[in-house]
Amino acid sequence: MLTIDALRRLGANTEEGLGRCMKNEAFYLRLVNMALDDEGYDKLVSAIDHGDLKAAFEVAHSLKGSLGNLALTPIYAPIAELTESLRGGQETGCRALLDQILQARAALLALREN
Amino acid sequence: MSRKPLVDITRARRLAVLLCILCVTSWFRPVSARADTQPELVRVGYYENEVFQEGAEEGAVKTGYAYEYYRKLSEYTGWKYKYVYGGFGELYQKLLDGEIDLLAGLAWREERTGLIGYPEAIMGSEAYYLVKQDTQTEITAEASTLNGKRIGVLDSAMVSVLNRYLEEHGVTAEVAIFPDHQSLFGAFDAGGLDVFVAESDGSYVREHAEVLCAFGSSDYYLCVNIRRPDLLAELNEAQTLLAAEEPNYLNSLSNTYYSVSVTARAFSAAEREWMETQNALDVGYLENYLPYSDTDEHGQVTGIVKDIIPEILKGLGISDITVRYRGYGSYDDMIADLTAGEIDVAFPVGGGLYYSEENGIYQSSAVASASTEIVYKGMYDEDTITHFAVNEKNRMQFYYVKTHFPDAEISFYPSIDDCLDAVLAGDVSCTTLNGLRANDILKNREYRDLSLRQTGRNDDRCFGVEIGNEGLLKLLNRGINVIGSDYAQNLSYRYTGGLYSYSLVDVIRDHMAVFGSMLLVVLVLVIFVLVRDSRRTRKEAEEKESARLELEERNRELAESKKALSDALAAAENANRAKTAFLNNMSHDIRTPMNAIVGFTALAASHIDNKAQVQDYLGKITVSSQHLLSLINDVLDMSRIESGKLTIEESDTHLPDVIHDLRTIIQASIAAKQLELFIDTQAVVHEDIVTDKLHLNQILLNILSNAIKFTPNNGTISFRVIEKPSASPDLAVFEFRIKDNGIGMSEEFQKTIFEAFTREKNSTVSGIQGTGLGMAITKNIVDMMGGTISVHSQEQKGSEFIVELPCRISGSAVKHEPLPELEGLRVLVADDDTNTCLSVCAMLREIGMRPDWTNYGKEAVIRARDAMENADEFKAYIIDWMMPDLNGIETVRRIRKVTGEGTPIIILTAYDWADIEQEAREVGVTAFCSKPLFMSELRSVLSQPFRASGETETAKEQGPDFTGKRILLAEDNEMNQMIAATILGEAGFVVDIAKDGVEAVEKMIDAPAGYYDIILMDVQMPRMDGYEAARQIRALKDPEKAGIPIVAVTANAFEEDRKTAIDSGMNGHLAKPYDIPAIMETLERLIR
Repeated sequence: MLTIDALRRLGANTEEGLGRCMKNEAFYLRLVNMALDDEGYDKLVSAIDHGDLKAAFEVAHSLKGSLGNLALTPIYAPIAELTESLRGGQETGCRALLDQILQARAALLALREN
Repeated sequence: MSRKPLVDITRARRLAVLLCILCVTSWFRPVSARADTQPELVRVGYYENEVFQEGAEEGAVKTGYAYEYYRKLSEYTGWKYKYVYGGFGELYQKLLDGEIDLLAGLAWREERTGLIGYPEAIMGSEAYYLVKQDTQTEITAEASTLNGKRIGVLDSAMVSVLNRYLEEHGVTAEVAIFPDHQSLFGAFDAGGLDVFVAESDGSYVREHAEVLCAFGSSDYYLCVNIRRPDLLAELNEAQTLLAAEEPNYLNSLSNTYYSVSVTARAFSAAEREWMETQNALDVGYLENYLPYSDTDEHGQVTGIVKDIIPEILKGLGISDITVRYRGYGSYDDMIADLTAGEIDVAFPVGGGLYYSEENGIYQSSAVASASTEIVYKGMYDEDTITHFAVNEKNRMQFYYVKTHFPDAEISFYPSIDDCLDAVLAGDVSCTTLNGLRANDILKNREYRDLSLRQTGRNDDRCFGVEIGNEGLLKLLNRGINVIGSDYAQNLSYRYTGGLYSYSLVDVIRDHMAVFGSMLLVVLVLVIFVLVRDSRRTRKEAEEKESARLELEERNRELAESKKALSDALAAAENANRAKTAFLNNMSHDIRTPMNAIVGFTALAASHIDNKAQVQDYLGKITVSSQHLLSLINDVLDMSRIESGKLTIEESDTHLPDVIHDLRTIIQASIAAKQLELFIDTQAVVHEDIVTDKLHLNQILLNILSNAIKFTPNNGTISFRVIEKPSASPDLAVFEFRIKDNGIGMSEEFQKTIFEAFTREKNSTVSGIQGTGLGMAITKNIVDMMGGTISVHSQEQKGSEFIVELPCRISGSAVKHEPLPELEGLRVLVADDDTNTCLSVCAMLREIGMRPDWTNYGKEAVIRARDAMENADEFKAYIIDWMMPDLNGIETVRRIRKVTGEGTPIIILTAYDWADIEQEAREVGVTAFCSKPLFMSELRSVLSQPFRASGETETAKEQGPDFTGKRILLAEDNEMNQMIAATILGEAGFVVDIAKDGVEAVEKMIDAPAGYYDIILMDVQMPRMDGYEAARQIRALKDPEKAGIPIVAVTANAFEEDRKTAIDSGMNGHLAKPYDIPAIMETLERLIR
């Protein structure tokens, strides 16, 4: 089960995220669930696999937007970094960042399943 | 190239043909010596063995006794070698199995004769020494003193040699046999052995040991695969020829590699006596005889003699002897003083044993042995060596000539310069020069017409000691042995410079052609100008000029194409080599995890019904897959670096952000391994720098992850950021030190850690996998950023990586305003890490506060109380969360009891404080700060509580009210739509959503004028972006619609985003993630 406490323990800045949701925990958690199910992650992997840095940038940028608003720091931090390197068309390090992103997402998903 | 169709231009064809010929000839050159047969490829087992055989690794430079021997054999056999690497045992098995053809260093054993082929001649022999404890005074070189002693020996050929020796001398001693060197040395070092047996390998010299004597030796062979009798026959033939043509080859080889043998510092009786009776050493030396000896312009001794005497005394451990030097212009005077007892030693002496006996002196071992060179003019023939010029001041030259050219006529001259002049003038046919002196003397321009010829007979230069002074002679010989025979030779180059002077006149003379043609060019130019000016035949001049230009152009083109061709060739060769090495490494590294995946997949398939087992296999497959994935990621990174595609992109960076982000990232792994993390800064003044943030992050993260990976549970990792003094005011130099107390690295590995595909040899033991590329990538990035990286490590102790990086200081750096409200206030810092205390206190002092610090929570409480009682209380506390004696929370609770409400107490922590925040606030913590603490953060956290409080709080609570206002929200991301709608709805807005730019424009067209009060426009949207949408709305015909306020929303707060937004006609700019107060403020400003 996703809870505010669990998210906080994983490093999310829940206070900030909740602030943007007018302190509505249920609403915030709904959005977090949506953010985790976003199909952007699959698109991002496929774009990077195909070396389509432009497409990857667009997807990353969009993910960054929603994750930032939710202050899901463990995913947001690497994706922000990834967005910046993709903006510069730079492929180095992308894989490692992508792995970080996917791992962080997997951790959150695992949290939800349990 | 040769297959390319030839271009139908004569010149081009000729060039191509020429190139073909060049290619063909250079292709065949390596085998032209044995053009009749293809060289035979012989597989040699190559194991690493100090001095004997070094460089047992693909691509490593090979040296050693055995290696040189292989090369020599190849001269006779024409063999080409393929080196097969491995340990000795492994290679011996391969020799038995016929997988290799040759293996060096095997002793003769009866039982081996049917298994491997022994050649007739030996490859070399090894001497064995007896070594005793230096405290065992009753054991001497006399064999009988070994009676009843315990002798350790390695289980090897040495055992039988030792037993034979003991038997021959009728000695009954206890012989202890050890399986390996380690246990043998261990027993000796622990005092369990009186004597042990050492091979003639210099590496076995031990501190508390003394060499007694050599007692035997054993031969070893270069053995051949038994299935290759043809090779054995070739080897026998080659060794026979070698012995005939170069009879001393093996001796000189062993001299080269094993001259520095086990040498003792145990002095003989005669030596001891000399040392006891003497407290000064008078050294006589020959002047004007560099590099050996001379008197310099200050009247001081110079040359080899000046260095070698102290070096010998140092090598022998003699420190209480005064050395005095005395220079002699003539050899005879020096020898006369030596025999008269005026000096103890003369240097150099030489010319052979016979003359030293005649002179009544002993000659020591050779200090330097150089061939004597015959110096002559013109052609060398029989007559050249009939008439010698000899320097009458240097009797060694006379002895040499007299010994080796007894029939030649000799004329004496007062100096060697006069001798050389006599050769030039043709008064004599030749003279001689010592080999160490000859080259540099003859470099002088005046001797350019003289030639050199080596005699091949070495003339040793030694110390001379009066006959009878045996103690000193032995000491000197021992000393020469200790410092090594090449010491003097190596030193000589320091002094030969003085033999050669090169003046400007010499330069001009040497380059007459160049100076001449320069002069000529100037002359021609002058004449040309004169002629042109006087005749003014401009046309002619122009023609000449253009012809000259064309010629120059052609020349340049030719040179360019030549250079381009050779550059391209070199580049192609390099790339090809790199690619091959890379592929070799890669295929090995990829195969390992791939094999695991394939294997476990098969296993899982065959146990498909056993769920638990399949789950276990899947787990293993996942680990291998992740490893493979990280390997491929690293390879991609590496190949980008190698192909030069990696670019460094610098931008304004706030260093504390980078460091805190890193801390956040590693937090989880630190916690998982229960490691202790110390993180602090030292003297960091410049927090705003220009650097490539992404790559800086990557560098530090790579090193930190390694530190975490290689440090066992409960270990410690420390991360320090130090700003070092910089040479330039625009540059800040940072040193990042990451230190752990993990498993560390061996010395050899440290040398190659920054090369691709290196891993510690025993990485399987540590159980930690890696791609072997991480540090290579890190090093490359550090290099590209203009920094340096180094590592110090000790096995089982830990490692420390140091990255030094120069960074430009950001132009937008903020200058710290003075904080008068903090001036003079007392602060107490409590942290168990002294480094943190010191650096925080340094910063506090900088602000103008009066800091105190302690390592203990309990002490902090006591000092707080004490300060209160003495009416000089602390106005702020900075407390570490984790202190061993009393944790931060408890410390704060107790301090709060003393101080009461009001005094700010700040918790400093390297960990995430979310879990303890509530509890901490309850006991009275005012604020939290994460480690490392930077100046700006410290200032902000301290100044907060001392400012007028309350006003900001209330303003935040009451947002503006937009009830009834209608907002058009253009945003493609569904979640952001929901969030924004919630925020805006809360503020009273009616929210209408457009999912991209096109829809936003359509909605504006369809809605009546004045329907929307404002538009919030995301910039990055599909179909039409926010900028374009804003432009189209601004271009609408209805002026009211076109004039609607539009606020841009971008992902960053970059100045250029703001500018582009304004340029597209928008009225304001907001950054994501949403900052509610900023949104409200902007909306309020634009609507009202």
